[in-house]
Amino acid sequence: MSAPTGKASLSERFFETLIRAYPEEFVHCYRPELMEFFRADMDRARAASPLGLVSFWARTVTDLTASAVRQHRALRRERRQATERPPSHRGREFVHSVMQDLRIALRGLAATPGFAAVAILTLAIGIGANTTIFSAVEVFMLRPLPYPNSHELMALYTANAERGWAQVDYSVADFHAVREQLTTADVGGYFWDNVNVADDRAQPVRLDAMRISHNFFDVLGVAPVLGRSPSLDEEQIGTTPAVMISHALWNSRYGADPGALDQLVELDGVMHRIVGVAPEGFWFRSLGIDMWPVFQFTEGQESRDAGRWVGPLVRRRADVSQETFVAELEAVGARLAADFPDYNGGSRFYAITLHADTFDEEFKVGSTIAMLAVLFVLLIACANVANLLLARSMRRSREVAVRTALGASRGRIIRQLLTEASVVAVLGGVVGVLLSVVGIRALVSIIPPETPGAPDIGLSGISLAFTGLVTALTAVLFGLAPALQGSAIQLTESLKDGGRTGSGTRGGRLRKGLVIAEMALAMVLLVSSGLLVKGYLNLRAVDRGFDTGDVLSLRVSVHGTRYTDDEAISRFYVRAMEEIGSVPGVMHVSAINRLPLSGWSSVSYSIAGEPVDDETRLPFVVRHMVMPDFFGTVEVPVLVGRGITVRDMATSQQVAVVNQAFAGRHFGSAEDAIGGVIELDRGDRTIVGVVPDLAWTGPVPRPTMFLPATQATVRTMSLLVRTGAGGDPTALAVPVRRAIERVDPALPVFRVATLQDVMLQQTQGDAIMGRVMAVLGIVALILSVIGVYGVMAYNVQQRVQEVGIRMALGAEARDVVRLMMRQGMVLAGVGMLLGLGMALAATRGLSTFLFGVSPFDVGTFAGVTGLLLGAALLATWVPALRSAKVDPNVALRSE
Amino acid sequence: MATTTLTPAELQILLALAAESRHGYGIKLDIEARTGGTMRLGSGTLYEAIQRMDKQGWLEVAQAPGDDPAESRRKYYRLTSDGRSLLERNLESWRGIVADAVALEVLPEIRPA
Repeated sequence: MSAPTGKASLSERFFETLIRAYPEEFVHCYRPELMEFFRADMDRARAASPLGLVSFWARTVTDLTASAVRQHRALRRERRQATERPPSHRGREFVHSVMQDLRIALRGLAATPGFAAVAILTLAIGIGANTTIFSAVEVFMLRPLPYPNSHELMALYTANAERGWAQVDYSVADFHAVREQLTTADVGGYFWDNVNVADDRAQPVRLDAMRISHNFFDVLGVAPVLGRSPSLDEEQIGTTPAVMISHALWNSRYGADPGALDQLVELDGVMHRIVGVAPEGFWFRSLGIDMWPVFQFTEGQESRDAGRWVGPLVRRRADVSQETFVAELEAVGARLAADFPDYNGGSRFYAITLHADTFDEEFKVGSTIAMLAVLFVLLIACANVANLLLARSMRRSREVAVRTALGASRGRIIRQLLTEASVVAVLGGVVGVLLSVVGIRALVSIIPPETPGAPDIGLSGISLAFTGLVTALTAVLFGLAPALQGSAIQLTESLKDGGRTGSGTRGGRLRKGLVIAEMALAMVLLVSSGLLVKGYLNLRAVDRGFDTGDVLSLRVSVHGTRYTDDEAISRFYVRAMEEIGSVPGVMHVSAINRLPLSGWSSVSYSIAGEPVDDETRLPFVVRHMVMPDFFGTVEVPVLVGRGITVRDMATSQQVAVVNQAFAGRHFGSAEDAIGGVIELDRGDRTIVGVVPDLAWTGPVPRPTMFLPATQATVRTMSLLVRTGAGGDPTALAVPVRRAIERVDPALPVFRVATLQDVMLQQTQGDAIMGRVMAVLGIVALILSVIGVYGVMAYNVQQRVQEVGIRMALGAEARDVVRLMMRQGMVLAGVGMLLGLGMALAATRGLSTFLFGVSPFDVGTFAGVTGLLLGAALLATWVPALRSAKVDPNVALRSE
Repeated sequence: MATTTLTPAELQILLALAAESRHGYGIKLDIEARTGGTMRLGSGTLYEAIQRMDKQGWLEVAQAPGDDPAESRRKYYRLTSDGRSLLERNLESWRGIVADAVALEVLPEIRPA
């Protein structure tokens, strides 16, 4: 040979690599000859010319490739003919082999019902939880509002950083100004109200209503199903105001009679004309509103001092960009701020989408948290099923090896394993949808019925499509890893080894990784749900400074021709207090304008004797209007001075009771506050008493003053009636109603509920999150324990022989248990550490829902760590204990 | 039963083995020599055809001629009787085709070599 051997051997090695492209059988048969052929051919080519070598390689490579491809094709054809059926159409063949895979998968599952049940149920829980939560999130977050081109609709607010508010309505005057000056949008307006409804149709009732501008429905783009929208002149005082009624009210009160149109109905003592019926199911901002009377503003209300209570609703013109609209709104706002500095100085006029206004931050954050939580549950479920499948495919490696030896291709085996995963996923999806039907019903039952969108929550096409997507994703997630693992099984090794592969190999590492991931996810989920549950419990158990037990609340609103002046209104409440006080079983009775957690009004003020830096920048104080004996009724001790009493009449000294926060802000101590004078727009108030800080308006008490309702005009108040200890406040509802009827039989009484229920209702957002997360946390805990247990049990089974040898060599049962547990606990520990890190990063996002709990609450973190640690110990201890019971003789014979 | 029609490569391989048994590379060299280098079989194509014809029973592995130990390790191939009769039948049909072509004056008359 002329060429140096080194060079030749390199070419040979390359050629030898090329040969491997042939089917195994061919290589086995002809390799020596091919090599010999190659050597001879190359020598000849090299001898011919330098260029000969190039063309030689070109020929050799193309020839080998082409013939290798032909060989593979022929081989496949041959196998198909030999093993299966007469050659048929390609597509049909594919369907056939898929059906075959399906049959094998179903047979395999039927043969291992325990595995099938655990895998399917685990996935069903994950998929069902996802479908349930998504069904609600879709309604809240993804579905457009039920008005045409709803993306053009916006709500306007003002923010004022200097005076400390972020989202406040408009005064009537500012609303009019914006309505007249904005050219890039149609402007309507509304404000929330309740009205006493009286007509000759049925009993007087108190209904939730919304006072609207005449064009409110036009701006929304909603046409009445009967009648017409109100007209502009119906906003003018002096005309009979128009009212739109809901479809539900039209049915219930008017028997769906078209003659209801043009009928007169008395709302809060004012005659209104019914002009239209809203479409069935129509809602705006909240469900359960039955009347939309057109507002008519008095001259007094038109003044900027009359408060900010109109919510402008605007529709941007279709041909105007959002930027143009915002620019115009800000220009109008800047003008209003410049023209009325006392009132609008420092205010910013801005718009948010009506969708964001309807489904506010609490919905958004809640939806995100819940979706993440169910995703975690699904991931844990996937990890579990992946582990199960992995263990199974390892156990079946011998079967796979035999099939490979018989000619099954790698692709075919992957497909078989993926088919099995898909069958499990689809069955899990089906059961999951069934579970979600129950889940959705449970979820809807804890969502307040007036929540916008609540009746629409259900299994929709979109949520089913989502489920399908989740199911497919799941199948790939947990199916692919075992499939790739399974197909990589080495033929000869698996056949040699008694089916006992996987320990310490890639499969083992993958399974361990899954356990770690699972523990980490469970940690995050459990910490989150622990914090939310703790926050919710705090909310219920917190010392608010007042007592909600044994108190009945009833709302009354005095309107009508009998109540035209302050004295008449005040006289009604005083007499009602007397009548109710004489009802047997009533210990205390009082009234307040705002129930707990139901918002508040605040006023600007100054303190007599304290210098004022800037008249336009006065501080604000929360103002409650109360009837006598309020503090006795809610069991609040008066710290210094006295409470509000029956002696505080319109004509007597104008007084106020303040809380400690207010006293501290201006007087240093409660004692020094007595006698202090608060200067308000409507006259000065002398402080006569100081009470503790109450969490009446929210978890954080604010500087607050209580004024006698008898010294102001308060038409609507909530009566509070306290029974003796252990008495049932709801039993008082009827006698208290009778007592009010004795004062004025025409006045409706509404929103009758115990104070406790009112509080519960107001904290429902936190309650929903607390409950949803508690359920998800428990599910996550159970699933991850199953996961750890499954892997440990499998490991023990795999190492029976090793344990047998150890015990034969003198290891004690105790040593074996320790050995087995160490492995499991290391995995659990790593997972939990990882989870702790993730949880620390994640819980900050929960703070909207955390009442009185730090996102880094040590107790919760420690508790969850302990809980998971205990669960992991148990899940490793049981299988480890079993391993120690191994009989060395049996274990060694099992080969 | 209709005679299997051989591909040009198969035909040439069988032809190469008609006179004597040869090893793989010998078959290639013989074909190249006879065809004046117009048919140059690559190793893949050659052994692919050998495998196929082996399976069909047209050729078989034979003892290397002579006593050279280096040669005796090599695999020689020879025609089976099936292979020989298949070759003959194919050549016969070619002869018929060529005769037709000559009669149709597509080909000139074959002159003796």
